[in-house]
Amino acid sequence: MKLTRIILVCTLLLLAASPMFAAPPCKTCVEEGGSACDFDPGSGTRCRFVAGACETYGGYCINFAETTILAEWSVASIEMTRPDTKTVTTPTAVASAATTQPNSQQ
Amino acid sequence: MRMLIVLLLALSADAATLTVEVNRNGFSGPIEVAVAPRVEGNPPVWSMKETLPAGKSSVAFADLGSGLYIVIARGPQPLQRLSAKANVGAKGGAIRLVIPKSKASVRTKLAGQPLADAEVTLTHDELRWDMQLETDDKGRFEGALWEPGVYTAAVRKDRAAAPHYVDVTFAAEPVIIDVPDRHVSGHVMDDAGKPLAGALVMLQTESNQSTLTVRTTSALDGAFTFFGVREGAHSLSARAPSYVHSDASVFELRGASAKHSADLRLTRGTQRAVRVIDERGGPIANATLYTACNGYIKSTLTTDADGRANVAVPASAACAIYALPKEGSIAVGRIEGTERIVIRVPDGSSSLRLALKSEAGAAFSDLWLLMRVDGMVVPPPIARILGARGFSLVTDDEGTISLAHIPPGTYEFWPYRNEAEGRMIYEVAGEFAAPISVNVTTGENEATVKFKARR
Repeated sequence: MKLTRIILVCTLLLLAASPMFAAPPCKTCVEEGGSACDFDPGSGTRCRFVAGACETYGGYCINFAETTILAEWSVASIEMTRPDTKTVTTPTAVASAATTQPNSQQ
Repeated sequence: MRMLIVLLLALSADAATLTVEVNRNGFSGPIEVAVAPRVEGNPPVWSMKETLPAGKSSVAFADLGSGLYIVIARGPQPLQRLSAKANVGAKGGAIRLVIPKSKASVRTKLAGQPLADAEVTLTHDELRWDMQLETDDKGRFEGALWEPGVYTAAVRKDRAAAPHYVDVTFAAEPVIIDVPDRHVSGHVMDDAGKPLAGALVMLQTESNQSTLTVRTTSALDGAFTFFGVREGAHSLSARAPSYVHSDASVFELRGASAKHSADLRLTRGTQRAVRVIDERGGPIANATLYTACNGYIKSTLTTDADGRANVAVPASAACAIYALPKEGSIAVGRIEGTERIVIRVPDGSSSLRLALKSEAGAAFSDLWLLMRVDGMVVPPPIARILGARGFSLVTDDEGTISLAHIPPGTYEFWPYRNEAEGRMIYEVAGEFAAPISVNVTTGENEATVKFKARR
């Protein structure tokens, strides 16, 4: 009985740990600038390149998502930093590290 | 002198030795052992080679930097290839290769009939090295095989034709490659109907499982052939320097036997003289020019030593020319009027490190960023090219992008996750403010953007 519980717990732990380490990054073929496989998060495809051909195929890969990022998130703030300056702005304004007002909004 | 000693110590600390031991298992011939740095997904470039004569079975490669490597042992026969991954640390590394006594039997066929004298290139599925074999007049090959497993086979009967691609697995059974009797051929011609040699011809095949793009080059008479194409929906197109990319010829090929012939015409469009100069008016040679029309690349060219090029522009489309010098930076030339277009590339005197995070500090990794520089949106295909030049617009594990050697200006960004979303945002970007907007000034600039969840 105890062994069964241990096996059950181990199985659940294994199932909970999505094997992201085993998944390759999403990639697609890019034809411009020489045919090659290019990292393409969100594509949901994998890619392989051999001399003279490139193939994009469906498969498990990291970071495939169908929802749009801007539908889920909005910009709260933009913090701009230069060697001597730091400015925080709201998203409606252009973030700019003005050298004339150092640390003005820090 | 003290500096020299420090330098020598530093160099000796970085250099390590990889020892490769080969268990010959009865094989007595010469073995060439080669080493290449491992770059995920790319074919290896062998940087060091040594030949083990009969009787010798160990070799050491000195002065290697720490990192991952691919090691291959090659015998004289076509499939006598055995590879392994090696991890070389500061103290070096060692691997042992054991040559098996396995054999391979390959049959090449065309629509079920023997395909004589076929040339087969086999690319290792994981490590991307390749090996070639030729079948005999009965379409057969028998020989020693050192590494069973999965390979991509490129099969060709005629060197001028693009090959048939198929996955094969070398195990105990003979490998039978049956090339389908489906072929696509045609000619590439210029505006005047004259054959155009050296044009790049691409056949993209969409099937349920994948999208395969095969490339070939038109011959002196403009002819091209794709041998043994897959069943599915096809898109055939061509491109050449100084010509506008051809429109795609779209068709379907199904059934056991099918042939399709299509001629592709490349036009010079409207030739526009372009000069690319730096901020001081000096010519920029070897800058790559991309003409993008409605977000798609329509022609590509490189500037000459004087920074000049005659760019092919489609006659009726809203286009812009993007200049990407080898030294970095980027500039855009709008196509207006009939005058020569001068693209002045500002000095890449700025850098921007942009970090995307949630308010709680979680990194937004693996996001694309559509970018607008001083009011000009960089189309997604150009962004991909920038990525290949080390100017990636995809956030890394820390949710950041780092743009070096960029001109000062106003940079705006829209994050997106996939191509369809990027295309949609590109279409409307001219009408909407970007969620991220930063003024980049000369020198280093860092921006951290914090996102909050919408409710």
